[in-house]
Amino acid sequence: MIATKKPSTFKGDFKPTWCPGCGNFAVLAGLDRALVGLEFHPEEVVICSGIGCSSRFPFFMRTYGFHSLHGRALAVATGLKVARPELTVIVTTGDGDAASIGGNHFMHALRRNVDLTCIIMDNQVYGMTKGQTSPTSTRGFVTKSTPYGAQTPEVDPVWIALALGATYVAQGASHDPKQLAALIRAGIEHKGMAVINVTSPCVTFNRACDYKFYQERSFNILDKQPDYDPSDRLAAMELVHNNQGQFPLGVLYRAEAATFDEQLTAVADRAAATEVTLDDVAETFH
Amino acid sequence: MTFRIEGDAGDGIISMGNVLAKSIARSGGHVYTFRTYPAEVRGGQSTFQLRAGPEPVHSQGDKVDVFVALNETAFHQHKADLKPQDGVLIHPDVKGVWEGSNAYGAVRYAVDFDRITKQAVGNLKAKNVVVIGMLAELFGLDPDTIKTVLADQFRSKGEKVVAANSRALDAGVLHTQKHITKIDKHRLTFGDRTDLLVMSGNEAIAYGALLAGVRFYAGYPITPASEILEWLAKHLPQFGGRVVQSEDEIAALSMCLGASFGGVKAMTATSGPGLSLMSEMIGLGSMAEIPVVIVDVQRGGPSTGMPTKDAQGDLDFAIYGTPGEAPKVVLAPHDVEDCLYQTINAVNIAHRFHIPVILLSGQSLSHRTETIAPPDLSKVAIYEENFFDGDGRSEQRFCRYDERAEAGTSRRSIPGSAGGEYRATGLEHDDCGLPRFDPQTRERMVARRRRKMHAISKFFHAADRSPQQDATVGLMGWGTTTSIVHKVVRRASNQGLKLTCLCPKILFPSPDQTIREFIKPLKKIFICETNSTRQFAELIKSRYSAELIRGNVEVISITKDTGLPFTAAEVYGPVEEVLRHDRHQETVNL
Repeated sequence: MIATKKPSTFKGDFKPTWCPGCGNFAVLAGLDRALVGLEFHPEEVVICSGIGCSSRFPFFMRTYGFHSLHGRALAVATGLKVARPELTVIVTTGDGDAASIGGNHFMHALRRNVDLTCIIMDNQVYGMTKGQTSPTSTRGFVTKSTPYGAQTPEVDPVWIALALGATYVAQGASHDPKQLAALIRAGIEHKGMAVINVTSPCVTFNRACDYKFYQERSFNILDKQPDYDPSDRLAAMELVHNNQGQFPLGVLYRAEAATFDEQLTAVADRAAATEVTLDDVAETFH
Repeated sequence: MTFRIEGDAGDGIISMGNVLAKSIARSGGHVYTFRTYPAEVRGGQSTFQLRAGPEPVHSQGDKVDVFVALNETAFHQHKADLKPQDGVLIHPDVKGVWEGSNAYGAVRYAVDFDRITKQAVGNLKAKNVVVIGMLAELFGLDPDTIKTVLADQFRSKGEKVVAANSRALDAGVLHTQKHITKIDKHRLTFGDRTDLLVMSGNEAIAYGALLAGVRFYAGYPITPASEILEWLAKHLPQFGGRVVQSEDEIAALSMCLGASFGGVKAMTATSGPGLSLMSEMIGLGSMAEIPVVIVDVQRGGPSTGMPTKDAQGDLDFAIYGTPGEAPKVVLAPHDVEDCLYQTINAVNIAHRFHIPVILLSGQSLSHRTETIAPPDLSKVAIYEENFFDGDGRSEQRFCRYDERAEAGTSRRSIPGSAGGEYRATGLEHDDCGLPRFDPQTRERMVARRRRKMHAISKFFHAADRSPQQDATVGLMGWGTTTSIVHKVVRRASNQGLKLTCLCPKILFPSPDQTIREFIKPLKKIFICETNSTRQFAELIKSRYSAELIRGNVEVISITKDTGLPFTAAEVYGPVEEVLRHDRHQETVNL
């Protein structure tokens, strides 16, 4: 790779449609910084997304992009990565897209350990449809779809990611763009399924969870536990469990494991080790 | 000559049938087989039927010449299918219900299969091979040819297993020579070609996908389509391909679109329930113009319906089942050989026109096997896309959806190609793939998509036809009913009756010119299909209403929705009535 990229390489054709002050701007800046820092060319990167404010991402960067269907980004990205393992595939998604309608794909992408980077912009609300309860909204949250308050407990994408086998789990915040960019960069560098949950306020439809809300409830893992060991999955789960309602920032968990795309490549190499021709295949029917 | 073998699900009926089919093919015979088995995994009866002849065989046959009933239930259920007078009944040498069966006029051979098998190999596992040995000796199949098939079949299980099967075969042959006096007159006859391949419709689809260059497959297990996943899971990696068993059908098609966006030919296969889950993703493929092939092996519906039974109930859903006027192509293979070639066609059309193609197969076609000539790969055209090859990093945006493009299809760029960056999206978009909802853009993009459908109907309009001078009665069918249509036409012709037929291979976009030409000289058109709502007939009636009214053409539907395919007699009956007596008829429901 040539090390002469200007920061503007990934600047998109389309001006972001997010509301002024949206937390997603920090993610956009962070991803741009990570890709520039890692000296990628635009054509080497594909951003896959589903539906929602966070899923408009592909239009705002100059890379290949696949703006797919609500919840399906991880499945689309899995197919792409398996078929073209040399590409860098990034999934931008939200709390509703990943943890509600795409829950099944989220679960299976995690357990497969596909070499993807999945950035979840978690604002605890459905923003694009103008303010309904999301699976990460807290119990009692009042919206137009839950006028008497949400009656379900929230899910924590970080907890799911840890439980189901992601090999890189981090949490960042839009109020700390510098750390966020570093976490995204490390996620892209990580070989395997990298999940970065980002608290990213919706300034229009979830005013309760604004920048101040997240700042007050966030802490840096290493500030609190300088000897924190990110290779210990149980410790990571304990940290999350012991700080419910809080947002530990930094790398929670990191491990090395064979990736799904790598394993399918190995399967193909093994199957093709003894040369099989189309005539041999025809002979199996004879 | 038609054989039926039935016994307990654990008797090895299906593998017996497969060995028999391959042995006949290696001897120069053509076969047509089908099997039935209970929807549940264990228990119940298992049936294999095989029709063999020196010429290609296109249907299962109405009556059975040789019936091997390995238990009383088999005999009870199917004795009426045995040909009267010269049928042959083979059953275990124990007292049972078959005692009085001479009343049916059948020749009976009673054989103690269990004892022979135990003596030959020490257990009952190879009983099915003893049966094959007996059939070989009785009806003239060379045991050495069968042994080559057994050796190929069991090679992976080791020499011991191959040897045991060989002994079992010899035991069956020897017993027959020594203890059975042949009093029937049946004998297998063979043609010259000994290179014929035996495969099922599902295998032909999977094999066709491999030949067409599909190198990514994702699928979720579902009856009756799972064999496509299983076959490709074994063979695609041998050619550098990737196969993923996905978490559901939505993911299967999502993964295929992801792979295809990356420039790798992709396919998935499912049945009705899975197709309904995929419909939103089919719309995305349509809108973002991503090539993909979706095989729907139809089964009886609605809902879970009858997973192991046949139907043609998904045509309307395949054509119209995606909201928002999503252009797509619907093809339907006619027989096992056609499964192979229509799959190649489907992949070619998908990539030439950047569109999802649905291939409508069916349960009866998926599990039956037929002999086909080995495909001549030099004559099979495989379409390869000419991708944008990169122009460095110009400031110009890549025009992925060029609205002036001929046939509504413009060159794709794939990731890795510099300067070709674009976004695929399900949103309405401009020629660069950026979201645009203004009326002018909308109008242009709708027109672009319509142009594509028009181009496809001009490009591909293959159909099976049998022109018949002066015929005023026509018979139409589609997909799995085609072989019956041909049989009915032959039968009519043998009777000196004038009947013409048309079975399009593409159902959507409808091959207008072909169908209009077919309608023109006719007064009556029979349309047969295995559903209850006359889906194809309604399509013909509404799309060609002007021609039908102008020519005063009557359309008569013959429908059947029992889970079983048509027999020739069921279609021939009502058609013959009209041909002989010009009798007026409305819909015929069987």
